[in-house]
Amino acid sequence: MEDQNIEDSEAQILDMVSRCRNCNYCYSDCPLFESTRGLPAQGPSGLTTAIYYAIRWNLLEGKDAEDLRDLLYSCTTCGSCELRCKKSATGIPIVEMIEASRRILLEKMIGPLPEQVKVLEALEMEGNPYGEPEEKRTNWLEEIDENLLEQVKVIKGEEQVETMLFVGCTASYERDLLDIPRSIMKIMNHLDTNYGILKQEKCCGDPALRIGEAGLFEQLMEFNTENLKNAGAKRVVTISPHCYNSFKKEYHNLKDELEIKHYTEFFADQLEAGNLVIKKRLHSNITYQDPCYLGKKNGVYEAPRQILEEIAGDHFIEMERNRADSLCCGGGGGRIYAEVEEIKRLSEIRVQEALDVGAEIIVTACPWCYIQLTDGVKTSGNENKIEVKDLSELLAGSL
Amino acid sequence: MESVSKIDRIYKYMENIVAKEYISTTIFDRIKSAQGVFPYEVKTEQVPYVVVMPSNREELVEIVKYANMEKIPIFISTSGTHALGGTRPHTHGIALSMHRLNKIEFLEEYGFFECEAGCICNKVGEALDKKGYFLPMAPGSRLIATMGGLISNNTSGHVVDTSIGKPGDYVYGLEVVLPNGEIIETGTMGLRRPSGTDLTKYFIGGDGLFGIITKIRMRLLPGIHKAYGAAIFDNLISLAKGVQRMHREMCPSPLFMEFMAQDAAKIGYEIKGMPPPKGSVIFFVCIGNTEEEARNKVDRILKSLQAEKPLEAFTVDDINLWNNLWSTREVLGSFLMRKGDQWMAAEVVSNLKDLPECMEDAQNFYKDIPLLSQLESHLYGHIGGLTFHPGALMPRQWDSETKKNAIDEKFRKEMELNIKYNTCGGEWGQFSKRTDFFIKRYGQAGYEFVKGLKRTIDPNNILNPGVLEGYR
Amino acid sequence: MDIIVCIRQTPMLIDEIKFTADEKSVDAANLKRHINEWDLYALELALRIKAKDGAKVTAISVGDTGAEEALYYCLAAEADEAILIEREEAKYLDNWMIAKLIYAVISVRPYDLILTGLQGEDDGCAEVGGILAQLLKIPQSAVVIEIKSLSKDGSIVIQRELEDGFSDIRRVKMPALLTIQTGINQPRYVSSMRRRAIKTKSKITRIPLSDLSLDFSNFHPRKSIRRLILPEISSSKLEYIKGSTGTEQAENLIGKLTEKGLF
Repeated sequence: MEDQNIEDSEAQILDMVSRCRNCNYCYSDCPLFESTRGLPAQGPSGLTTAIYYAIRWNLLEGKDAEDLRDLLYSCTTCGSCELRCKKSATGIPIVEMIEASRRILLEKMIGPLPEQVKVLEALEMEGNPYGEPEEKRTNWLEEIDENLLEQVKVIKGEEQVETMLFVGCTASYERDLLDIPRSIMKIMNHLDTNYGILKQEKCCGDPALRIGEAGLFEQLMEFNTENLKNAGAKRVVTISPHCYNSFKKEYHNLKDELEIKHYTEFFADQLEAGNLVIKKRLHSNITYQDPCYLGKKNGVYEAPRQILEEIAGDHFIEMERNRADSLCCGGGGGRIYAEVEEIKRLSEIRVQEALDVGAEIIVTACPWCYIQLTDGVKTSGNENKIEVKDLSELLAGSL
Repeated sequence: MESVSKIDRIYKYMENIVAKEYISTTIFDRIKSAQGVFPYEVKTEQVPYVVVMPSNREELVEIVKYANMEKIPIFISTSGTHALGGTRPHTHGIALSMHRLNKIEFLEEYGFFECEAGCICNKVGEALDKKGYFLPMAPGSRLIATMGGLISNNTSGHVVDTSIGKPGDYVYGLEVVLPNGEIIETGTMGLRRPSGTDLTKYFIGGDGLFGIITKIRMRLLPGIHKAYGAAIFDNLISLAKGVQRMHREMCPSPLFMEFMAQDAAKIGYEIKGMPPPKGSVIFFVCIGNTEEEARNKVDRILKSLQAEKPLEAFTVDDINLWNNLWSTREVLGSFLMRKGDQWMAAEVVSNLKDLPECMEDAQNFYKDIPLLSQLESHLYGHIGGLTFHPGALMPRQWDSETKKNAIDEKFRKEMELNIKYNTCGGEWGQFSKRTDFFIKRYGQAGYEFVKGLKRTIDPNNILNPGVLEGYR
Repeated sequence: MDIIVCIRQTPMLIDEIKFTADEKSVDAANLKRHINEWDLYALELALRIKAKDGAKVTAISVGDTGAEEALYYCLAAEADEAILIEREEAKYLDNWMIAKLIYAVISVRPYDLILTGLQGEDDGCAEVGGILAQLLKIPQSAVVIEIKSLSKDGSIVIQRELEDGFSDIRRVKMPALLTIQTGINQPRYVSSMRRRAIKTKSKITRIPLSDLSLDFSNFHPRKSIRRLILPEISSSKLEYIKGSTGTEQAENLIGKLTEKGLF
């Protein structure tokens, strides 16, 4: 849609959202509706109805435009509504429409949310949403033990490698999460797999795309695609499901050129092939938070479970809402950068659901779920009862 | 759109009653509240001034009193799923959402549970399930529809009335806010329903005319066992006759009994990866206190059906097969709407005697409506409740005005058939789009009766005005 | 109504600061640049007045690294015209000289309002606005945080920030110059596609120095940097400067600073 002018985009969006039959079933699965005041427009078809009338009645000025912006940017883009609509109603690609509308708002200089502006600037200038210097992206490797670096080739120029580990911005810059890439490296080390890490890795572009900056996304896509191809990679393994989704669904034809795997898929394959053997089983009760961008968006539900069942056996308990019914942590869609309305914090609801099934550990496979749920444990005062761990940490610890 | 100053005035007054975060003057909340289920646009004169979400009945009372004083209409719209458009406002007014009245309380010592009007049907069902109870309600919209709206409607949904009746039959008391702001509590805490005047009855199926339900007391019912059966007929008339037999031969009624004409069933089966059916299909659920009781009921019904020579008639023991069969019905609508057109259906109800003739009429539902005769249409319905849902796909390219005409034509034809068979709808309520039907069916005297009640209870006509007058 | 907005880029000081060999400037060679934050608020103010009451918005910049980029940004944001005063990049221009160049261009153009950002992110001097107003002999108000009203009689009511959370409200007769504080509004985001597309759609008006009627014989810096030093981070010591009048306090302050070797 990038090459279209705004009028054509609006016409396309209008055509799509006018298919809505206003059954409102989508509200039953929407984390926005669950966590907010529950005003009529605070649900999927509320957003699409808002888009419809904003275009039809030209409500794109002044306060109306700001209200539309606030509404559209409060969506987590988890996709639960699309699954529901497909199952029970017209099958409208609701999230796609919301994101297309965000693009229009951004082009009209009405969006994004104020706090997201510096995120976009940081992405453009430094290749990461945190505004950290791009030269320092691989500095985290300095804190990793020498022996774990043996398998790693840091791709600076002409080096070639078959398997690439795409670290992602959060794992690269957030030192609190250092154990995640460290654990993955331990497992790679255990598997004796050689792999590369791009010296010049830039953000996969997911935040830009979700916020509606399609032009910036394209720049980042081109940059990363070129670097991955130049390194001769046959396979890229990602840490974040958002990078995974970007490569698989949003990057033009990357999936035709190389294999794209989330690390849980990659390690589940190794487990099945007998290359990974679990030596130490876990006896704490654990449960698993399906990341929306791994599960709902890409259907990867079982690979992480294969690993966790091996590690914890009967101690792995599902939350009542699992797989496609999983509750979004609230971090996606650009929300992690902004203050959005949350009367009931999604992370706290989820922590409670984990406690309800007797879990002592919530296992995640996404850096944002990790951050959100860790916060949720703290803000709900449950630090003594439950902790959050990444799947890679548990796997590394079980070998 | 109404003047900003009027909106400001109302907003300022509401601020004294409800926390201001729960009053919205955002245009999008106001439009969405008015949209309802119709695929055609809201008109600017229908957009509410504000949307207000009271947290309890006391706040609601203050709002209603204010509305009465200022003669500003109130429109109750929480999930907005009323199929006749009862939540679409007639004029500007105050839109009320009952979303925050969402508490549920178990009074097991009394044999009841009480839920506030904004509780979502599915959530109530889940809460009851967890404790081993049964919610006697199965509307298609249960994921989002509220208890207040459903009781105001007293809808059967999928349920065959002759099996467990209507949800209202299990309501033993209500708390209602009247249009003048008075609160009344109706019914009984005992297990005998009142004989004589029971105020509860004025509001169960009240169509939103006489009061705003805030709390509902319902009987706790034991969890049920289910058994399943199905049959395939090579023609719809035999299918109809089979159902007639079932009722005439006093078979214990199934809880749900659905049918799909062959062309509709074929689509559903294909989506579910099953080979196409050889004819029109009928599938049903029987309930019992024990597994055996449920199975016996299925056997009895199959026996009646078999007398009309189906191609096949069988019990469904495999739950996966049952889920597949049931979902062929559920996926049909969504599949047809995949192309982007709007699925619309009518609710035609037959009497027992004329069921086969009604089946034919339902098959030909759209044929003599010039605007709709060329549309793709399919027939299915809750045949156990003698209900047909002839549906058609309305092209999305049609403009708003044409879509409105299409909906009105559909209801006009529906009226014709329900008059012919001396019946009335059992799912969506009366009035709104069916006011013309009500007058035809029950005469001017019947209509005046209701109007008289309305005038007495709501002299300023502030509660959902337009519903009784008929639709807009 | 004609509004002129003064715009420039600054280096992004996100990491350790290094000085050039002569210690007279920040070594910005490897630093990324963006539009000076304060200028964005000034631009946004102009564009909002344009949207609400109608105005012609002209952005102006004295050419140095990134000026062109900054001006294209303004055009993409819906400014009507962008003027680039060309100059030799290497030559040092102090803020008086910059103000003088801008003066030379705009003094022959119509203007009702001239907006500048309060200060630069890099030097924090807050000089250009004040000097420019003096040169143009128009009233100026600094640290403006709100526009209360714009009237047809040719005046503007502004609110400006004082210390300690105080502010004052003044009516200023136009033409006037305002220096704009951050937070007065929320600057719009201009997408990368808009910024790319604008280069084919609009042109920047380029004015070479030779076109300016300026006495270049008297065109020298009024101020020069002697040396830049990074402050030592030490434990703080607080001393109140005594004096019963402002003049007395100022004299005592100068005395203290001379003692410390700064004069």
